[in-house]
Amino acid sequence: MSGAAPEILLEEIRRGNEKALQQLFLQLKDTVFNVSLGYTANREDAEEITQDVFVEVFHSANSFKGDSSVKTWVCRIAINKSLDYLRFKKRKKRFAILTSLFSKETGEVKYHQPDFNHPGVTLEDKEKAGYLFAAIEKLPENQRTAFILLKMEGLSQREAAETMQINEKALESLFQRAKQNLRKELAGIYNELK
Amino acid sequence: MKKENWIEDIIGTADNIGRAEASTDLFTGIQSRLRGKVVQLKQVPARTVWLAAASLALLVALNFIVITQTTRQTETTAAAPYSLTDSNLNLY
Repeated sequence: MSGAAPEILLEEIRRGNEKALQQLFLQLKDTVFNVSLGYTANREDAEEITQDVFVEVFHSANSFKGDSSVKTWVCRIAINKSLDYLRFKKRKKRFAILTSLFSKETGEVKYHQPDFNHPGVTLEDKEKAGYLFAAIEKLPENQRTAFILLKMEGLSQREAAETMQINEKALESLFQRAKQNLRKELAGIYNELK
Repeated sequence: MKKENWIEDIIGTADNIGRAEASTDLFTGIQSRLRGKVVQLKQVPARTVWLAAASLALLVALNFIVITQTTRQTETTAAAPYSLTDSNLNLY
């Protein structure tokens, strides 16, 4: 079963086969993990989301209609779980926003996410990546998803559009707006730093 | 110009972010979450569920009977003074 296609594995998962779930996990774990990292930029959070995604896959296997590939369907679950997770974290931090924005020592605005811990970022790029993720965090959800799927996850236009259930033209428009807004956010950060 | 270069440099960082590998150990956590749910379901046998449902139905039925009887009694008590008055009037 190790080399079986995701569609066949999903058929087995529908019957409650945990071995098939494990095989699907081995095939798609890195995709799910990297998509989640694009949203959270934190290893622990992304690991938590990855586990949530495969538990959901096991419970919702019957709801897969086959109108997209299994990878796309799992990717969509990963996006929704990541966004849910971020909303949950945002709610928890709502009352602490002001205190977390300003450092206690200097009162300067902090742009690094306090829990930034992306395993794909090298030490020399850590500072720059911190600014990038701080700006990504400010993007509207659909623009953020377009940027993550195309720029960070490296999906093709067709795959990303299918995952987001929009056409390629709409995806391209979202991606361009995401880049424009990122530039605006980064310009603000640059002005604060200088 | 310096600012524009800095912004492009930061956006370009996205191309340098390597693909991270998720640990295979994560599956152990997935299994325990799945088993956790199954155990929870097994802890409540069907017999207990039916017993609870029957108890609830009995409770609702008893309440219904008590409420109906109380309402009838109240109606009878409320109607009584008028009949007494009527009969008293008949005496004169």
